[in-house]
Amino acid sequence: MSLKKVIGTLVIMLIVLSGCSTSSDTDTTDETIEIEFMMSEAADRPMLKTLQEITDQYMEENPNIKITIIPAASDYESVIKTRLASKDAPDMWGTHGWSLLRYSEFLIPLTDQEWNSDVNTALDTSMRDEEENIYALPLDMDYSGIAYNKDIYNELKINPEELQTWDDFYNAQVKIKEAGYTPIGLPGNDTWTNGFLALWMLPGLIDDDIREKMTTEGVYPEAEFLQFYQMIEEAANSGLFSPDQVSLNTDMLAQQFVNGEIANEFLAIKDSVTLSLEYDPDLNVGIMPIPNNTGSPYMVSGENIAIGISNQSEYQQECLDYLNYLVQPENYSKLISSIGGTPALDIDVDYTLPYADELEKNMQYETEAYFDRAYLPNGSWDTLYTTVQSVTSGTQTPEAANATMESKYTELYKQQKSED
Amino acid sequence: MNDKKKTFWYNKHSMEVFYIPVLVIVVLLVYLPLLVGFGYSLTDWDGYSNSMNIVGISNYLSVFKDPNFIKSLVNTIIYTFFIVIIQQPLALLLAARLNCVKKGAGIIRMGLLLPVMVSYIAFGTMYSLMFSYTGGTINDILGTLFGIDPIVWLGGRWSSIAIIVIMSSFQWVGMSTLIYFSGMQQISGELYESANLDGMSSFQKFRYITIPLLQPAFLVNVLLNVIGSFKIYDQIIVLTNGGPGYETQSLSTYIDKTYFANQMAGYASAIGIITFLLIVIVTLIMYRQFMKKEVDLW
Repeated sequence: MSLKKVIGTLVIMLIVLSGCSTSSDTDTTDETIEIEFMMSEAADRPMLKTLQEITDQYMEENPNIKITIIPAASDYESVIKTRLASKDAPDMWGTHGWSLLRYSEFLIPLTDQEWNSDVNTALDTSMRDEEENIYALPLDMDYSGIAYNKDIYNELKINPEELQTWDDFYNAQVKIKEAGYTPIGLPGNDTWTNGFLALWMLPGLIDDDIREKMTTEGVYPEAEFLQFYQMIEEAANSGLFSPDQVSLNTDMLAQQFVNGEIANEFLAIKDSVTLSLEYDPDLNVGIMPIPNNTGSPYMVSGENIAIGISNQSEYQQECLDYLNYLVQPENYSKLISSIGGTPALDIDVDYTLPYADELEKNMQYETEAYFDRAYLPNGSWDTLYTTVQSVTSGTQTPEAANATMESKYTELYKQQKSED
Repeated sequence: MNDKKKTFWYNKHSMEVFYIPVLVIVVLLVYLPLLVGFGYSLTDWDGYSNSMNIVGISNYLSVFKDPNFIKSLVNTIIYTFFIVIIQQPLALLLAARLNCVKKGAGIIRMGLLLPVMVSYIAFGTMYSLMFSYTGGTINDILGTLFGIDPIVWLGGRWSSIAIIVIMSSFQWVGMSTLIYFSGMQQISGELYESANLDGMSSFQKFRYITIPLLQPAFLVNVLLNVIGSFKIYDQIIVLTNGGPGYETQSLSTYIDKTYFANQMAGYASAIGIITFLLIVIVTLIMYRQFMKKEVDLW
């Protein structure tokens, strides 16, 4: 056999093999539409089970549509980004708070949907662009303050309504510490949770003028951030945080909170109150607004569980039909009860939040948007929570943490501007 | 006969054709991604969006001014040094002992290999439960037996690094042991018999016969160990997630953090290229040193 024949045989084999793979890739039946839906919730969350039940029901009613829900793993965000980069986006995915800033260029606008007018206006800052477009269906919204154990506060005769400034709050926590409790739980094993200290505290330290300069000129508020890092360092030095900041996770924290070992949680309500109530539905839990040194206390609000449709999907109409099915009152009620959160749509829901009274009494306070989503360049979140953990664990000084944050802020702002 | 000579199969280079598929796969899966990664390192790409700009070598210039990169590099060197220092002598001693075992050697080999087969996630979770502040086995034992207050094992840089080093060293010691053991099996028994006649002690035989003739096994083991430790990732993610703060980050975890969480894929690619070059340089230096020693031996 000559060299030409060998090469010829190899080429024919390659063509045959590639031909086989191509034909199998496109081997779909004419009738079944397969929709891939990556959800931002883990498989063990009650919400995901309810979503699956509703989806099964939808597929029964629409036998030509098959929706595969893929639950989130710990690398959910990385997987989504990788798939977006490789132009292999799923048909739908959970946007986990980033439908506008991060994912809007990959999603179809959903502004013409009927439920659009029902979206709570508190979500406008974080979910709508300048043209009022919305890119995901928000199921619930985060409406958070500081979760506290009422039994501990009652025992020590601390009135949370009197904790108007950070000094008030600090003094109350010192009292809690002296009584033998851990004042603030930081579940640093889930490293991102440390960032909530910043999200809760920064709005009260940075005024509107500075915020304007941050978003329009990329000015880093060095003095205000330094003040924030110094405040948490002081709290750490006073022993106000849980000592096991690397091994403690949100589940363990919820258990300690339920057991009355920890007095406060600085987390989104779904990670603090909702999770704790799963362990003890009768838990005596309260939610207080966030103290403010420069004005009135406030609550923080933002996108929580939301679903967007890929602009690369072949089945956008079918996905839209499915989303509209989810927001039918009966289905939406089931979803909201399984999430245990505040409804993002103003639809008549057959469900009462177990901590509705706590939220109700805080409605009088102003609402701030999640600070990083509103004022920091996209990608800053990781540096924010890592530097917080550096300071609370005593491994970095406030000055060093501030320098790290400033450097990342500047680079990311520059990167964001060049992309715009 | 002349016809046969003319055919392809009788050409001395004919078999080289069969390298082509492997070569294509290596180029596609190794060199092409490396080249693409180098391309990204010259941009400000965020890792997922459709837009990027060429920024030249500015990512490379920024890397060496980044204190967290320097910390990750130093940590990686510390991990590598201590993992090799602990794992290799331990593996050598275990192999020497295994070489003397007449019965049950197979079971011991299996026992040594078992930890290698366990995933880092499972192994790391076990260590995490042992060293956890609340309800951790070590703290419970220390508290019960000696009345010692719980220690935050994973809360500081050095204690966390020590735990990661111990975990990595012991998990992979079985693999190194088997490589040394295979090397020892290749050494001719006649050499030891001659040494016995010369009245050499066990230590002298180990020092002057076993160790010099294990040079190839040393090379393989140390190279694998150094390259593996330089890329240390899973153990850190499971145990500390790089924390507290940036204290236990390695180059691999820092690349991951920078690429995905910070959304600075261009910058992360530059760190990746630098890490690759470092591994190549260290490997070449070690390879040359080992080869030189091997030549000296002969």
